Amino acid sequence: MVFTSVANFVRSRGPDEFWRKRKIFKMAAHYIGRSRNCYSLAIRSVHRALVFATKGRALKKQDLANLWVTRITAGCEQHDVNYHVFRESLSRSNIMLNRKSLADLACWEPFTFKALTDIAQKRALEEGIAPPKGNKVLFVPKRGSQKKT
Amino acid sequence: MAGALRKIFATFARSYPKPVAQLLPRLYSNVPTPYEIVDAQEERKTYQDVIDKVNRQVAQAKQGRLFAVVHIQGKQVKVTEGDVFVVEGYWPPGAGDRISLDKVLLVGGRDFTLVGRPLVQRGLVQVEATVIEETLSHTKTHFKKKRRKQYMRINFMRVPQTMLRVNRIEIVGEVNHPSDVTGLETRVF
Amino acid sequence: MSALKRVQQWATFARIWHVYDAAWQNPFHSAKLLKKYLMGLHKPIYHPLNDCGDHVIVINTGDIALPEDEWKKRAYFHHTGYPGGASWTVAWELHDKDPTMILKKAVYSSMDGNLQRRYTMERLHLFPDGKVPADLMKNVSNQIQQIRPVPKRLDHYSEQERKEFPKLIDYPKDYILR
Repeated sequence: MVFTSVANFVRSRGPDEFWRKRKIFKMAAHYIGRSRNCYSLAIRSVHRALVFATKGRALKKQDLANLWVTRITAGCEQHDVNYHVFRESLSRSNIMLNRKSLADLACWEPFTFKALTDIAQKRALEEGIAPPKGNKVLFVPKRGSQKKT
Repeated sequence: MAGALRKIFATFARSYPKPVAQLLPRLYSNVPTPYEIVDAQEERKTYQDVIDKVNRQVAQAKQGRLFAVVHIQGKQVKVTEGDVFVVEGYWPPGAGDRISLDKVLLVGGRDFTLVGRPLVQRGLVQVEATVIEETLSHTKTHFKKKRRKQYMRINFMRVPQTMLRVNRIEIVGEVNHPSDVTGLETRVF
Repeated sequence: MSALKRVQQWATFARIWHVYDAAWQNPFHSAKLLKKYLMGLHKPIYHPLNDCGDHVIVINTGDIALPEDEWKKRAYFHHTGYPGGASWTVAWELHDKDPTMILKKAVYSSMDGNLQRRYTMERLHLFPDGKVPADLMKNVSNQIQQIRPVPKRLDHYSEQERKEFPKLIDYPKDYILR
């Protein structure tokens, strides 16, 4: 790479500075404004970007896990099962599917997922782990309801 | 138990008039626990009918394209025939190896799903895959920096990745009918 | 793609229209429920980048029920942008001005502030009473269950029902009711 052109060959023996900066500029090549061309700005944004990328790898995993839960919850609601009851019943039935594969099934194999919710419902009933049904309703003051007549 | 299977129902409302069930506190009621007597023979017949239906469909090759959830390298993957999937991290099999994925958690066809607890009956399903490529992932930069603390660390890593192609998913045995000798049927010779 | 699969695809991604009766419902609890339908969180195909939200028609927003003394205590802030342009409107005042506003703001603030929020809000159709344009109503194919049962007022019971209601005691003849 160094010998690709005369200019690079000359640089190759010179000070390290050019190569050190070029490494950063290459990473900043797609930035906008001066952070693409001014080294002191470029290195600042490159460092920020690398930190974001490092942290982002962990965040991506969390986001996906949250998405799986959302999808499974949506699938469960279609068949009137609570998410937590569903997971607990499956694990009590020794069905060791994880969130990822359950979400896949909810999304792509709705009939299989329905079968799983059926199993969970039956198990929840037998083990008595279904949450109490029926919401308790207290008196809700409505506009005008407390008006004296 | 003798011939009858008792099933306790969690809801009172089924067998008692509604107001009574609502008024009585669940724990301190003197109402006998509601139960349902299920004829064991009838139940067994229903199960057998379903199992027979699945077996018949498999025998007539009407099960359609099968999919399976397999456990591999601590991860679960939903695969179907022709899929390529990635196994991340150190994994001994090399390119060109044909392997059989034995830990099958779930198999589904057009009209049925076999759910393993946790694995489906050994030797019932054959999931065969070929290792098609062994590579490394793109370079991931692990960079840490603290402002105004003269602290900066940089590391580079590439994770080994193995690509697998699923060649075959097939139901070879009979549902609910394990063979006497197990362990041989899943081998690829 | 076969014709059957294509129809399945349409059916999966088609927007569904729901109707929700807000009468006697807590708008802040309703907002959490409606948000799910508007964003498509109730579908197993949900993805933040997958535009799979549904339409919701909310009727009777004029008859919402606020908890406790929120009608008097809850204040809505607005700033015109000019100095001294801040104003606080109490819930009952806002409700007088626009009976759909409280629910609209509740749904709006129940969602995360991202670029999609305003487009999601466009799928929410609020009506202070039961009068919904026929061209909207004809799309509706589902009713969202209310989160609270609507209480029945005494004057809605028939004379017969009122007489047959079980009572604990009979007042003595000479008892003076104050």
